[in-house]
This record gives sequence, structure tokens and C-alpha cells, in this order.
Amino acid sequence: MKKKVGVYICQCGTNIAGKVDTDKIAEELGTDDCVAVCRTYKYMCSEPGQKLIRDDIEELGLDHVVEASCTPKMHEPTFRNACSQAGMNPYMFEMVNIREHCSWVSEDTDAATTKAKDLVRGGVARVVHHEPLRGSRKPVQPTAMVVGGGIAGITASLKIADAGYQVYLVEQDEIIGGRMAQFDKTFPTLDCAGCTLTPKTSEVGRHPNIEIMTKSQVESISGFVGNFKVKVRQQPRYVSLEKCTGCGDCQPVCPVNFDSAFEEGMATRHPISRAFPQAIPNTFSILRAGAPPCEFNCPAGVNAMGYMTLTGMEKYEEALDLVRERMPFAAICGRICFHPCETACKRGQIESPLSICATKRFLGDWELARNEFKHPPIKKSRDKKVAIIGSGPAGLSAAYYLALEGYSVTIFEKLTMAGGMLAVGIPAYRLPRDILSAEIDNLLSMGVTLQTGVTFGTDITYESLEADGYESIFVATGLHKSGQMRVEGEDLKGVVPGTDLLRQHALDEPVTIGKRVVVIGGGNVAVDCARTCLRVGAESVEILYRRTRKEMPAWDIEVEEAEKEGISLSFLAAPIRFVGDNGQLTHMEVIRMKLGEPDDSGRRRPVPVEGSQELVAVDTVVAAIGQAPEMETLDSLSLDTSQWGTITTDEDTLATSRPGVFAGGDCTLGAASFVEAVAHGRQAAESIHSYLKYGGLKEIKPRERAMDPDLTAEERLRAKPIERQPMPHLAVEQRAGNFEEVDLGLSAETASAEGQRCLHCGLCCQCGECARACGPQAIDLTETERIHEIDVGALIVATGIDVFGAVKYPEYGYGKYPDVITNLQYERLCNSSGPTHGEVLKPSDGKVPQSVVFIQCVGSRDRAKGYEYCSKVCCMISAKQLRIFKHHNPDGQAYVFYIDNRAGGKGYEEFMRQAIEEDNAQYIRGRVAKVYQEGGRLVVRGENSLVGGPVEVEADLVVLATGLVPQSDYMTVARALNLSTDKYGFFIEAHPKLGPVETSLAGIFLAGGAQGPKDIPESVAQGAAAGAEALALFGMGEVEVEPTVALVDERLCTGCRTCESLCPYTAVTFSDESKTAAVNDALCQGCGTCAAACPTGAIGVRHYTSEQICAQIEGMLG
Amino acid sequence: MSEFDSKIITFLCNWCSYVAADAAGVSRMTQKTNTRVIRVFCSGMVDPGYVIKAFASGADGVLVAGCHPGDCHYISGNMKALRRSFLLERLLTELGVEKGRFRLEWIAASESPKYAEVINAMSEDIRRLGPFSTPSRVDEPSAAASASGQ
Repeated sequence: MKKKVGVYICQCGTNIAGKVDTDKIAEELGTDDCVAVCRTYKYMCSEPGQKLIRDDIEELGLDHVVEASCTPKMHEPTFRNACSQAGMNPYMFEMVNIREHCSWVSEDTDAATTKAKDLVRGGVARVVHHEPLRGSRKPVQPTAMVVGGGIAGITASLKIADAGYQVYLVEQDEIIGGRMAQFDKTFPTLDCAGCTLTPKTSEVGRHPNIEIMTKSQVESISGFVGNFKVKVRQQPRYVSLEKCTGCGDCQPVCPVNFDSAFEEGMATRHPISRAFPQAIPNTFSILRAGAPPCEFNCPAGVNAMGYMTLTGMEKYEEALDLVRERMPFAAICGRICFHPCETACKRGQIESPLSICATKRFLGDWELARNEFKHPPIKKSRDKKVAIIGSGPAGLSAAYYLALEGYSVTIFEKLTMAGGMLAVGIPAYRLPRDILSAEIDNLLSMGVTLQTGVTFGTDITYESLEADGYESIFVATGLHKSGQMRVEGEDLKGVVPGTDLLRQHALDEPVTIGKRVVVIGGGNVAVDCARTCLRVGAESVEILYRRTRKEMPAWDIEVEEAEKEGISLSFLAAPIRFVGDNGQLTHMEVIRMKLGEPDDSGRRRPVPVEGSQELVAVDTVVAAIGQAPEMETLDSLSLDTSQWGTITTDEDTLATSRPGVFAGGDCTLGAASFVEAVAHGRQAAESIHSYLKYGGLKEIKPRERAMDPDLTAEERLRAKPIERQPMPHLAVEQRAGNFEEVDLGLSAETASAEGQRCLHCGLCCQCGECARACGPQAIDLTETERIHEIDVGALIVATGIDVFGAVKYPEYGYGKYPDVITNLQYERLCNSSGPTHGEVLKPSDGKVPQSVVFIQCVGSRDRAKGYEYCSKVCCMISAKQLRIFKHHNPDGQAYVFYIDNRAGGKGYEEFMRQAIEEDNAQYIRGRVAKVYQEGGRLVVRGENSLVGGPVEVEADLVVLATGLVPQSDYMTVARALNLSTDKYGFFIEAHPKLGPVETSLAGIFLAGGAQGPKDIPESVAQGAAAGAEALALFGMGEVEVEPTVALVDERLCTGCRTCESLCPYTAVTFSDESKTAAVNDALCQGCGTCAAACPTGAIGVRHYTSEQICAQIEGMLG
Repeated sequence: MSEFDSKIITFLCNWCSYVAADAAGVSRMTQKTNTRVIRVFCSGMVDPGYVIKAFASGADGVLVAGCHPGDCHYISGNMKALRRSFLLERLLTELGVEKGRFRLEWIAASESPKYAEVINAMSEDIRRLGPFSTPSRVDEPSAAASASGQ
């Protein structure tokens, strides 16, 4: 049966009819077969227009309706509704846009008419394929989330909460109040901004229906109108909202200061602070930028920023406590650590990094010298025994942390002395034996038992330990075997493995070396061997390395010191044969190498140079080319191992394949470092604790995120002019023949000076001073960020505005002259809780200014340097600010350089008149060319365009009326919430006139400056409007979900599952029953990606079927 | 002026380029009138078959416009459109559709000037190419299947 279509062409006054000949289209279409009726009307959206449609549907029995008028984004709901009223399914309707796409974009009537006609034809061709659809109804979750706690967000929150619904107020900052909290007075009444704002903020604070989430950001959103799921990331406040009494005792003890963003850089703040006395939440909170580079890059995560700061304050005991939280052996670590903290230190981007490692050594030595070992209190004995195999750094560290937890710990050591590689791998000139034994003795004083000369596998076994009542074992046996060179003659007398040489020397076993010694290898062990050989009497020592100096894994400082001592370095050479006489080494054959392609480790692989062999006379060769584990001893445990022979463990818990047995350090990592081993020890102790206490493995807390590693201009300014303190060394001539320590250590003065060099780039250094000073113990520095998932029905975005960066106008001297400030900085000067307690004073010398010049449109109405738009509020702000100035200093004179004075608003023009007439401000129309300094005063040079000539004004203070700009992170919010922005970054409303707080996404609304520059009353009005939108939604109780979702034609579906892999919402799944794709209507968003990819055309989107679209194409081209 | 009036089937994403097109209209940005707009929910919804169908039905050009990478309303539909476009372009060349007659563009809701520019530039390109005469190979969308099978 032929379908009957009614076509209605709107003239929209002259908006459409002015360029599109609607009558002509109607006449031509009227002859089309399926068109039952075709009418034009002046305003189809008007009631009589809609009635035309309704009547025709009823009288002519139309099957479909096509409406050609404005954009469907405007009136599609209107006309769908009209169809519904007349009993037609609203999806039997199609809307064609002939205004925005035709009449408004063409000067040519014929062309616009032709296009409009084609579009309408397309609509008619399409609509006959439409089918009746019905959306499902879903209940609305009657809770709202308001993003942004400025005055717009506050207003919206209060409206919704007062109506009885729950509100989550998500604020990025530590307090709510937004920009308005920074202002002093408001125009045009000169009301105190604080006095009008704080009643609102405290109402929010105590409202039972509002949950304030500070330091929080919206991460992502899913769902649909009435049923959103929002993910919010919340940074810790570190100060308990419940316990903090706001006494402020934490303030004076905090050692860190930086520019306060709330004070616009006019004052500094401590990381722990409260912006102003009435701030809501009315408790202190701590600002931390994330893990600073020193801490983040430390394998053990030692809080270097914290202990450096405390050392700078000469609080050595507290500093040492902080070190011990993650590094029990400060004196050892400070001597031998490879200090990645220093490599990462941001001060290194200025001149040189802090001498962190040497400072830690000072702390350790300071304690040893006082002979007072201090550790946190040991918990009550748990009566549980833990065995540790190996007394290297991993074992010692595990013992320390387990002992603190109250475990009974026994360390079994195979050698006769404790310390592992610390004792038998690192020569005494780097780590004196008395230091090592002192720190081990300290550990033993905590109740740890040490048994030396006990070999696991022979003297004790897993079974014997179990029988002795040990409930957990930590294996930390290290790597004590030397790697093989696999070179002919390796077994000759005179070829010595490096680790053996060091061990024998450390154990006072006889070490026989000849006069000419060659050390093979490029790591620290090679350098240690070379320096040891020199000290035990070798005449010449050479290090032979197959790559170049650049690739040497040994630390630079070690290599430099070796060279100073007279050790020669030979690169790009390797032994290929050792030659002996009677089993005693006499020569070695060496081949030259060149660097080839990079290998797996990223270093360039050495390649032999053919024919470059030569024979060299040598007495002793020390092979220091790597270490291997002695796994035979551990065989009885039968643990899983890797291809390199190291024990395989879980990366986070260090659990081995055998329950209750944990492993760490070199025997799991391969040859690693002291600090990594200590980190493993601590990790293992935590795992063993949770294994013994809870019978399971510990929950892995996510690590604190790293802060931005790039140096900022502000951090550069924070750098105190103190140079890096050099490490004093033992003179080279005093080193020969002995093992005296070479690095002599920092003094108390130099260590404290190092501490004071810290930039505090991470802001709070977690030194703990505040926590110690806090009476109610409200501070918890171990808090971590949290992710919340919140169900809401509506979301209001009120993320506010930022202020234009005045540095983009270098001619105005902002940043160069301290007395050139922005208008927001001026607000802080006027504010009684601001840096000058409300006195308008020159930042340069604190004197009262006599002449103040305001420069308008800084960043606004300036296509070249700033933004094209008018920021709307700056004219009034300057008028207000000059009036405040005159109230403070009636004899002063104010000048305003303006482009146009814009004072549209209730009472605004009158207010500006008063500024001019009562306060005698001089308004000069014209742009300022330059602000410069002459004879100690600022001079503002501009033009007076009304008089037509240049003008110069002397000024004590210059205030730049900086424009309002989108928040710098607007894109993050836009992406998180799927919002559209305009070209500047303001969020786009649904309609500039009729939908000012709606967005194109149902259920998400806008309020305040995030949508565009506006003043306080407008922001408040929008906040209330957005609140009303949310309430309207809650009042409806249910929403209709569009039926335009994907649909599978099971007859055509071959079950190839292409659609399943493409769906971003996992709405399409494969049904095992029917062997076809199946769509979950609740998850499907109707994007149609599946439909476009379906090879058989089995899946399509309702209302956007391929039949409909192809018909539309044909209709348009027909 | 009336030397050759091309017709360009234009698929616009509801969330970005359709908004830009509306905004261009509101701002009265004069454009060539060659476009024939079809509103879709996502550029990823545009079946390559529609493009071929358009050429087969007499279009002189086809434009698909979607959100910028990373800004898709449906997470990544635009990237799927992009991935398809490479193969589609090769297929169109095989079918005798000259380069320049098919375009995929990213036009954000805020980029109404860009929308007008793209429309004008594409209209001009196609005016220069002249009317698209359907080669015998492109008569039905099913040609796509057989062409790609060769």
C-alpha cells in the first residue's frame, strides 16, 4: 500500500523564505507520488503551524510527516510532539534543515532553493522507510554531582540540596568558594565579597544533603541521563576533617614555603595551610605535588626531600628517623649507594643536584659517633619465628623490619662474618669494616639472632628449620660466584675470579697477585678489584673493557678515583686466550674490538677486529665479568628459577613458588644494587608479616604518582644561592698500601647547607614536623589518593574561569616591575585577610601609592595577542578597584586607559559615573604602548585617541585588567565528560538563547564562567538555573531512553563477531545459543560502528538503517 | 556560475561537525550550496557501502566529517572511520573514482569556519574535476564486493 507523506515547509518569517523559494518547492513536491499534502507556512513551530500538521494527520490519515525548517537540534522535539499528539508515532517523522544549511549560508536564491528541494526530497525518500519505535523508560537516580565549588556550583548545590536531594560537590582545590573567595569587594554595591560568600559556603559545609569532595577531579563518566556513573579521583588532604580543630599549631613548624596560588603569588604559604579563616572545609590541609623525583626514583622509596629538609634545620635525629622508615642503614647507604635520587634531583636542572647520599651518610655517622642507636618502638613479641638465609643487605633489611613487627628473627650466614657482599664484596676503603659492623651490631641489639658459618642445604634445611618452629623463610643468598669468561687457559694459575679475590681479601685469606695485573670487566666489581690489587702491592694495574668508557657500568666517581690512584684503562679490547708456562699464567692474547649494533640492553655490541690480536705479558688476570648464584645450596627448597638461574618471585610480594618462602636481593634480581636489596628486604618483611598474621599476601597499595619532573620558573626562584658542598677525599698519596676510607664525609655545617639547598619541588616534604606538633593527632601523612565511583542522575559543570597570563604583554612590564600587578592580585591587596591585611601598598617597597593606573583589555578584545571576545567584567572591576583605592587614599589619583567602557547591568553605569565624578578618576581612551621605569617611578605611555596624541602618566602602581579565560585544564574536563568546547575552550551550551545551561548531552548542565565570561550575578543565576534543570529531571522520575540502538537480524548474522570487537561499550556480545551477535539495549549508545563494519549487513541501528540512509541518498540525488 | 553544479553527499557527525555546520549557518558563513547533508550519530556509522552508493547514485563527491581523534562521543568511532577510509580510498581508486572526490575530515563543534572552508575547498576541487561519470564498474554497491575480490 502506498504511504501517505505530509510535507511542511517553514518560511521562518524571512529567515528561510528570504533565500529559499518555499512555494516553488511545495509546488514541485506536491506532484510526487507519495506526497499526500505539501504546505508552506510562515512559522511552522507556532501553534497554528503545529495544528496544520495535527489536523492533516487526523483528516488525511498521513503515515509520515516531513518538516523542513531549522536545525533538528532546535525543534525536532516540538514537531515529534505534534505528531504524537495527533496519534502518530514520533519516529514516523523526519526533520530537514533548510535554514542553517541553506538559506543562511547562500546569497543565491536559485542555488539555495535547489539545495533545499534536494534535502526535502531526501527526507521524503527516507521517511517512508521509518518504522514506529518506542523508547524504554528508565528511573532517574535523584542525586546530583556539581563539578566546581565556586559561587555558581555552590548556588546549584544549595538549590538541589534544599529540595531534598543528595549532592556531591566536587572541587579541585582544597576549599570551596572559587574565584569569589579571592575578591575583596563586589560591584556595584561595594559589598564585601567574603561577607556575602561565606554564609553560602558555610551553609554548604553544614548541609546534610551536600557531600563536599575537595582535591577531587572527575576522571570519566558513563551511562546516560538520569543514570550516570562518575569516576572521581581524590587527592588526600592528609589532615582529618573530623579531628582538625583549626588551631594552627602546625603552621609555624612547617619548614617549607612556596608561592600561594590563592594569594596570586603575593604571599607564600606552607604546604599545610588554610587559605583564610572562614574557609570551608574549615580545617587545614596539605598540598603535595606528587612523589618528588628523588623519592620516586629511589628503589627503596626513601623520602629524601623530607630528611634533607630536616637536616637543613639541623634536626638530625628526626631526619634519621625518616631515613629509617625505608632505609635502616644510613651510614652504609650513604657510602655505597648509586644515588638515583641525585640523578633525578630537580636542582640538577639549575646547577648541580643536592648531595643527598653524602648527607645521609652524615646522619648515619652522626648517630654512630653518638653511639645511641634509635629505632621506632618494637611491637609486642608475636612469638613467631622467621629464618633469613643470608646476611647481605636484603637479609639485614628484612630482619630489621621483621624485628620491629615483633617477630623472632634468626639470620643464617654461610661465611664467618655477616654482611654478605657488603663485607666481602665492597673493599674497606669504600665501606670501612667498623661502620659495617656497627650498623649490624645495632640491628642485633634489637633482638635479632645471627648465626655465622651455617650453610643452608648442609647444616640446616627447610625441614630442619620447620622442625625448629620457623614459620617463614626469606632467602637472600646473593650472587657470590664469578661469571665464566669461556676463554682458553682460564684455569691457569694466575687467572683469578673477581668476587673470589675480593672475598679472600676481606676474609684475610692470603691473596697472591703478581706485579702486572690486568682486570677484565667494566663494572664496579672490576674497579673494586683493580683498586684492591693496587693496595695489596701490584706494580701496575690495568682495567681492560671490551666497550668504551661511555658504556662502562661502573660509577664515574669510582673510575675517576681509580685513575687518580694510577690505574690505567684500556677500552675496546678483550682477551681471547691465556698462555701459561707450567700451569702459571705468563701472557694473554688480546683482540681489539669495535662497536657494532646495539644489543638487547641498548648498549652497542662489541665486535672483534680481525687480525688485531697481540700477545701481552701479564702476571695476574682478574676476571670481573659478572656474578652467578650458588644455587646448589638451595636445591633442597626446589624453587622455580629463571633462565639465568635466579629465583623467580612475585614482583610485588616476593613470594616464591613455595608457600611461606620468600626471596629477594641479588639471588632474584641478578647483580643489582645495595638499595634495591634493602628495598626487597622491606618488601619481604611486609609480605611475611601479612602471611603470618593474616595467612595471605599483602594488598598492593598503588604507588604515589610522580610529580612533573620538569623544573618550573617558580621552583628556580625558590633555589637558595648555596653551592653543592664537595665531598672531601683522602689525598691520593695517602691511599697506597692501605685500606683507609677515601671519602671523608660531610660535616654538620656542610650537610645542613645541603639540606637548605632543597627546592621543595614536591611541596609537602612529609618531614612530619606538623604531625609531631599536632595536638589532636589529625595529620596522617600516609594517606593516598582514592578513586570513587558515584551514581548520579544529573551533573552540573561549574568549573569556572582562569585569568589571562599578563606576561604575554611584555611591554606592560608584568613580571619585570614588581609594581605592575594584575587586577586579581590587586583584589588580594585590598582583602583584609590578604598579604597586606587590606592595605593597598606597593609590592616593591610597601609604601602607599599616590597614583594608580589601570590598563583595560589585557588579553581581551585583542585578536593579535589575547582573545577576541570581551571579558565583560573588567571595566566594572577597574571602576570598583579605583574606588576602593580612593577610599583608602582620598588624595590619590586614579587613571584608566580604556578602549570602550562597558557598564551594561543593573546599577553598573551609575557606579562607573560615581568613579568618574565623585572619585575623580581620569578615564583616557586609548591603548597603552609601554610601561617603563624612569627615575624610580613607573611611566605609562599610551595614546589618547579622543584628543589624538600621545600621553604619558607617572604611576606608583599599575593594575592590569586581565581578561577571563577558560581554565587551563578545560580539555581534561571536556574529555572526561564528553563536552564540546568553543574555539577558546569554554563549554558550549545547547542553544545560545534558549538553552544557556543545557549541553548537547541530556542530564549534563553548565553554570558560571566555564560557559563563558560572566560576573557574579549571572553565575549565580546560571547556577540556580542548572539546579532547576536537575530538579526538573528528578521531578520527572523517569527518562525515556532513545530507541535508536543497534539491532541484529539473526537470519543474516554469520556469527563472525566483528561487531563484538568493535563495540566500545561491550554492548554487542556473541550468543552461544543462537551463534549470532546479540545487543544489550541498556548498554548500546547507538553509535553504529558495528553496523558500518558488518560484512553481511545483519546489524543495523534503528532509525539509521542502511535502507533509510540509502533511500535518503537516492532522494537527494534523484 | 551555472557551468556545473556538483552534488556532494555530506555525512556529518551529530556531536561535532553537524553542530559546526549549524553554527556556520547561524554566523551566516556563506558557503557553496553543493552539499547534501545526512546527519549520522558518528562518523564510525558511515558504512563504506554508503559512499559507494552515493557515487553510484550520481554524487560528484562524498564528505565524511567527524570529531577530532580523542574527542569521539563514542570513545573511538572516528578512529574506526579513519581505519576504514584507507581501504575505501583504494577501493574507490580501483572503481575509477578520482582522488579528491572522497574526503574524511575532523571538524569539532567549535570549528564552524573550518566547516565552511572545507565545504568551499571541496566544492572547488570537484568543480575542477568536473562531473563524476559513473564508470560501468560502479553501478551498484555490490560492485564493492566484486571489486575487492579481484
